[in-house]
Amino acid sequence: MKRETIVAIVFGILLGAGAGLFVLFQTNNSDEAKVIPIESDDKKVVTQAVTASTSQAQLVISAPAAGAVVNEDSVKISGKAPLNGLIVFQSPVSEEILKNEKDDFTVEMPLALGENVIQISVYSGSSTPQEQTLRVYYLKDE
Amino acid sequence: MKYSVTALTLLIFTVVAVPVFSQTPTSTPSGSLSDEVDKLKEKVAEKVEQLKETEKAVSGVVTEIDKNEWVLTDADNKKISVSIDDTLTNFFDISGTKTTDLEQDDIDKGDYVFITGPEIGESITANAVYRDQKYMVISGKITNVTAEDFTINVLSVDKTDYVLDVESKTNQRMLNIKTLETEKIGFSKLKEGDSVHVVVKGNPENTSQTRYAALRLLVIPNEYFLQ
Repeated sequence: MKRETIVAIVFGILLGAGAGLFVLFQTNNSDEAKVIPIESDDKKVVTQAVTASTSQAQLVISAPAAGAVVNEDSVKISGKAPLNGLIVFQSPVSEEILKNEKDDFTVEMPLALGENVIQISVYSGSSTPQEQTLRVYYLKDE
Repeated sequence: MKYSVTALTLLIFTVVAVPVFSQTPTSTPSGSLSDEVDKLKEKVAEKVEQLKETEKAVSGVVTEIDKNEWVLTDADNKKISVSIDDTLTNFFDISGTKTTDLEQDDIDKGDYVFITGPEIGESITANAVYRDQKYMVISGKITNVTAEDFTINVLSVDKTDYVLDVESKTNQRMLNIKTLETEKIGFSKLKEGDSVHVVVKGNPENTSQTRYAALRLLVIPNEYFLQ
């Protein structure tokens, strides 16, 4: 093979590689966003927690929301309360008492048809409780 | 020589292949439209499900009725405006475990109701109005026990002095401070200084009433706090 031929081949390869790299970088820098994605509302969900109105603000009911309408005859109440606090749940249908051995609690309360007023009181180191009143509405599916 | 040069050139162009990125992806218009419609349907279904899950109600005593504009007063004495729609709003009565249909005229001032429907601005557009029994939960400390007439005085957390009639049908329970279970008790077990949680039927027409018949009564003995 002649020397000029080899030089021409090498020169051609370098030129081709250069052109390839140029095309590659130009493409990456261009505007690719042609499709507008549909934004998911899931990211916008904000959980609201109700806090007791005392200065200590240690009783927090995270579920259900105040005024919630449900179609089952019981509801799970969950939240946070002081460790070792005595929590009393009182409603026209039932009452529950539990000692809060963890930071948070969950209890299931039966519901009557219509409005259910559930008072949640927590005694922690005192005979004066922190209190919250929750209203949950049970309506049967028609 | 010529053959070897040609072979080498072909080999180089076959092996060194530069990928093509410049082509813009395109989709068929009919497929894209169908996808968008499907996504929209899914989103509508999700929203409907979300609204069902987050449906809320408000309750209070009907204090004003002006044709289709009502005002309720809730437990915190807050006024709630309610819009009634002649054709859309349904009216029900809740009694025990049954719901019966009512007419709009069946509901009067002084009735206790709860309402479901969307809140627009500061007014609620009623989808349904339910007439119901008002219940209250009172908690506080027993300050006096009168055996003669089976009443107890309870000083609530908000410093209201209630007189509660303990009747034979009153469900009376007390916390066992050792087992932390509740036990059925009689009137003789009630004593001054104990904490108590009481359920009573409210009187929507007299919010300043302080004497009630106790329906349920749960006592936390003072000894629990002295341990």
